[in-house]
Amino acid sequence: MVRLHTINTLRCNRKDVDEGRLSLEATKVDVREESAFDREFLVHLLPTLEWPSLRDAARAVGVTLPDALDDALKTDEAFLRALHHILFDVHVVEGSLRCVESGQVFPISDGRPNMMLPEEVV
Amino acid sequence: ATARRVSLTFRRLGVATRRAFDAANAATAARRAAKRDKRREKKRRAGPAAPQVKATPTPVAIVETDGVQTPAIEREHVWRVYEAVAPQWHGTRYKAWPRVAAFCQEHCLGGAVVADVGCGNGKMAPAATARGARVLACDVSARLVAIAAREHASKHYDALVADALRLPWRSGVADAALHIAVLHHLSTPERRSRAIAETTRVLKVGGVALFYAWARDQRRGRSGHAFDAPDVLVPFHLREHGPHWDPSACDAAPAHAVRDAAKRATVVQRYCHVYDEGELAALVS
Repeated sequence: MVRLHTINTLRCNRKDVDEGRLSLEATKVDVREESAFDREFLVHLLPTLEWPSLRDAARAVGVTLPDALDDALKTDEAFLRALHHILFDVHVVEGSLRCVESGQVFPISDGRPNMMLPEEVV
Repeated sequence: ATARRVSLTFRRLGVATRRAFDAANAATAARRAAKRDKRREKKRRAGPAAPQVKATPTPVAIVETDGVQTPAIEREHVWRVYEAVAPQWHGTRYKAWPRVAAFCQEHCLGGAVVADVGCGNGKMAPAATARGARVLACDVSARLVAIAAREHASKHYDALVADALRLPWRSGVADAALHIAVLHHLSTPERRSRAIAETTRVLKVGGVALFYAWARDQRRGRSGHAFDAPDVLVPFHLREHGPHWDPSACDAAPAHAVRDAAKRATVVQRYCHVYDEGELAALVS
């Protein structure tokens, strides 16, 4: 199963692409029970998140996140817990990731994204 | 306890007894001869035996390629082989190597994001996730990734299909990386360098990676042998029996596969580049 955090770490790896931001389309989602909350880890993770992508991916699974991650939110316990749940307990089972720049589509089937590229664009 | 007592009895055999013994011995000898003749006749009728399929590593020459596309030798002798043997591979590879487990104990801690490149069947998942690390795993074999995802569905281990030379992750997302038994499947120094570069790209500054590949001289190790050449094809017997036998695997067999009738197995050849002492370290630096 691929978690939203994992999806947030992905990018289109075509050589002719700059950032490779991916747009998520989710047709089947599995929301699991809240896993153990590690506050320190989450705070440590925050700078590595691609926030606009995460916000869009969350929208694709029916969740609304704030436009920006400001300092007030970084210390808001309730917000952090909710963010933890969104990042680590929401699994995309079926769907796809589309490169915003090139249009390359990577399918997600049975919880597994296939990020292989055709040889021409590697 | 009483001492053992041996008692011997000598008897002169009567003529009739001797004749009975001789007859019994002759009958046994005749029975055995008949069985032996029947066996030889059967073998003669079966014709010459099928040539034994070579079961030891064979040196192979590497052809120069343009370096961008995946070389044919890797497509045929790595990608297609793993797709064909995935279930049996999974059934026979389940223990994390000792030094890998030690690396995980030190670097795959709670709060770490770890990349498992070339994860195969997810063998490293228990060791990598034991202390709470979040693992992002990838392998080029879709079948192996399916097994990894299924086996470790309850762990913090997200497996996906990707090529080690073109990792799908953004730069600097991982605190640590595992790169186990991948570099010996790359056929040129350039491709090996690219794989290493991709891994370090995905690591954040200060992150740690473990690169682990087969040595050419394994005489001090468990296998106790040395390979004849730096590039070899290593046989793998895909057995047509046993708990991991999947009849549907027949369709996925690579073109070079040869059936060994005697062993009831299909022999496939895995391409490996085996490393001289210092070669891997030089590549990384």
